[in-house]
Amino acid sequence: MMRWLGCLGAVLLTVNCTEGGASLEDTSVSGAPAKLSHLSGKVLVKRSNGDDWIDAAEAMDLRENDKVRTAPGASASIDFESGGTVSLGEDALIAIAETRVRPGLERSDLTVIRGRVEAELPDVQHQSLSVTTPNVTVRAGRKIEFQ
Amino acid sequence: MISATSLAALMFVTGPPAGPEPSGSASLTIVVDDAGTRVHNKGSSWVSVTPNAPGKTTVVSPGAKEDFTGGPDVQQGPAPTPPPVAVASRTLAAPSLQSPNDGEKVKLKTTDKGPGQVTLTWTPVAGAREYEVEYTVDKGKAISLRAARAEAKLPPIPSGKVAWAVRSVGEGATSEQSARRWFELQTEDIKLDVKPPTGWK
Repeated sequence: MMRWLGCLGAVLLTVNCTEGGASLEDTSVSGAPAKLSHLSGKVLVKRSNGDDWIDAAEAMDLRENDKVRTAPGASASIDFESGGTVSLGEDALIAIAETRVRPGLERSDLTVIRGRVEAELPDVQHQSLSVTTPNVTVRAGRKIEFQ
Repeated sequence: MISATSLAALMFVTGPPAGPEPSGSASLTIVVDDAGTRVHNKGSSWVSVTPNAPGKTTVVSPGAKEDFTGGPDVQQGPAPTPPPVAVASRTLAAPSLQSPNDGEKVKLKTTDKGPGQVTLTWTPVAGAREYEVEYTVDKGKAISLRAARAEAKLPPIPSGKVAWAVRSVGEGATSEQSARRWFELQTEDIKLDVKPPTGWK
């Protein structure tokens, strides 16, 4: 019983406290929240302020609202400054989410519009990753929020 | 003080008292297609899934696979794929606007191909067949246009403050309008870089 109450207390702390580890809010001052890596095949990037898809390059900085698209047979990884890594499979389309939090909206790191992604978070105690899709938001790590 | 309901909700989302803090690593696969979102939690910690439309948060336990299909509402657990009509009858979620950012200054250049055009983007909504974009320039008359995808290129418009919002349109259902955004459009005229010819005699 006491163990269960202890766990509940810790859960409440998690609910009420702000994130202790690195977060994307912290990274807004340092610039790009994410970087491309492990490119294979045709990978394209569309800047938030651009109309054209451009060829992606290794270690390319990704900023909020940039989009990344992989062609059939292609793949790429996105390393987030907050610690998580997301690997895109072929024929995927994602967008880097806004780093600032808007009132009434949940924070997100990434929007997956189409395709398959593999998300890895090495240390869930200090890191978090939020992935928004057209119908849900998936959260892993310390930033899990309870409703 | 926590009410019994809150306690039950906390119990639901946290699952059994496996540990006070998340630990270890997280590894998950997310697949997004026309049917919705599928999540496979391959790591050792819990993953939460919250519907973008109002609804309950679901926790995906380590090793579990969950399908979240059938429009903006999230199904609990491995839900059967609903018939297409079920999607049509649901309330559509409003899109979440992506770019341009709110208050952003957008500079467009006129080239030899014509005046520059702004592209608006937003998050696609499951169940949406198309989108209705509404915009105004300097609080003028509202103009609507339809887009089949989650982006729309505005026709050439003059400099000014552009306000815009989008709603999802599905089979027999239209969403509420999204939150309105605005951006400052600055169009730059083409500069003729004419230099005097050299070497002429």
